[in-house]
Amino acid sequence: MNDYNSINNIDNNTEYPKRGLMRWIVYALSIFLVVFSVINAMAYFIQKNSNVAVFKKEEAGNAKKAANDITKKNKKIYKSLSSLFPKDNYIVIDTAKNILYLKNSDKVLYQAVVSTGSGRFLIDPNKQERKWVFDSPRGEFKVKSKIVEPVWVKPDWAFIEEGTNIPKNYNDRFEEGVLGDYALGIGNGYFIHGTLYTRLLGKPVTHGCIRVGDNDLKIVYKAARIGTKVYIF
Amino acid sequence: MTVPFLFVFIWCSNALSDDSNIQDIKIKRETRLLELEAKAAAQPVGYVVLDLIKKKIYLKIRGVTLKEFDIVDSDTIGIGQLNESYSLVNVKAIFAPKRKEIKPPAQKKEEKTSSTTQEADSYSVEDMPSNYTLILDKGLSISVSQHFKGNFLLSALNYANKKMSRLWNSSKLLWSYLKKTPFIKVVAAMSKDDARAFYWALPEKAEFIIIRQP
Repeated sequence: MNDYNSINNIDNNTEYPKRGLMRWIVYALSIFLVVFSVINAMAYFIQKNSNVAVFKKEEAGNAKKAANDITKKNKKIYKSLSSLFPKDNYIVIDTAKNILYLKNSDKVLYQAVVSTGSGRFLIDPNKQERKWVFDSPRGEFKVKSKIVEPVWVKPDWAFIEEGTNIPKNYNDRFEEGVLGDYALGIGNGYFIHGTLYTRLLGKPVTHGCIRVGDNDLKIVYKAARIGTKVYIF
Repeated sequence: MTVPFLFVFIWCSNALSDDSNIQDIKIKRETRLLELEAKAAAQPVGYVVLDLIKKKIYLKIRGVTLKEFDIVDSDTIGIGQLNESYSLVNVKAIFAPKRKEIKPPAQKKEEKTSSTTQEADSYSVEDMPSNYTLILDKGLSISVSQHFKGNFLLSALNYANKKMSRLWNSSKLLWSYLKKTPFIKVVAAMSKDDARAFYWALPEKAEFIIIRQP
């Protein structure tokens, strides 16, 4: 009898804490489920009622509107939207993938691996307020200039980055051969140009310009004209 | 004989008029979306069309689609019709990317370092977060989260994530309803790559147009 009791006591001591914990977990889960259901149901009714109200209002308004007017308006907007679409070849540059697409309408005529802005920044150690962020610009641009055998006019940041003094003589800024055989200017000092560092194509390493391999650049240069749209995203 | 005939006639005419009304509503909505797009396309900056019916996000400029992103799963909660365009105000991410600084070498005369030194540590799409919230004006926010792909455990994680976000957003809707402030939340689960690429491509202060079921 004593043995039986002692065994029973031992069992109860180890089981009770587990049972208690389980009970609390079940309680917590039940409360959570009830709260979850109530909140979701309330949110659903608020949402549904408000949407129905808007729908009815809209329906009443529509009854007065002649279908012809709406169709005419639709056509007019379609026309104005399609007038914005480039009629000629255009260039799209995906800075995430570092790919340039030469397109006409929805067709991709050619695509090339390029290098775009590194996204890094540089602060002038002598003037802390001068800061450059090396991103490729984004948005809509146009080809503003077409240059054969371009010469790089080095800006101040190029000297600061190299740790050399900024020259006082303007002619000391010229550097030949680093921009490849062709360059397409898109404004604000940004160009689509060639590169000496072809092994870096496909990586974001530039100071904002778009670097293209020699062969690809030749094709893009020939297909583009002054005014060709360039979209960068 | 006349009564059943009249009943059928009235019922049919009612049904037809309802259909034409629905058609009217559809056309009106389409016109509204076109109006919004024409307005956004008039600017030389990118805008976003979030199509919750086709589960796609289109990045556009001047009516030209630059990129399409797939939405794996989506949910919308809130009051309102989303028939306006919304401007991006802010992007919130727990792990927001940080730009790296170029440290120029000490100034030396006539000694040039290689111009390829900056090739490492560039700021790229891999640095972008895959979970973030886009705060737009007029009480709209879009939460982008990563959709986990793979085994059963990850599917369960997706499910739990969806349910928890539903509960959280429902609570926020109730709170907004009581406070009488606008609240619309769109939750979009995307693949890791698409979520990152969308963050990367987001134009500053972009206009958003939302297409969803009436």
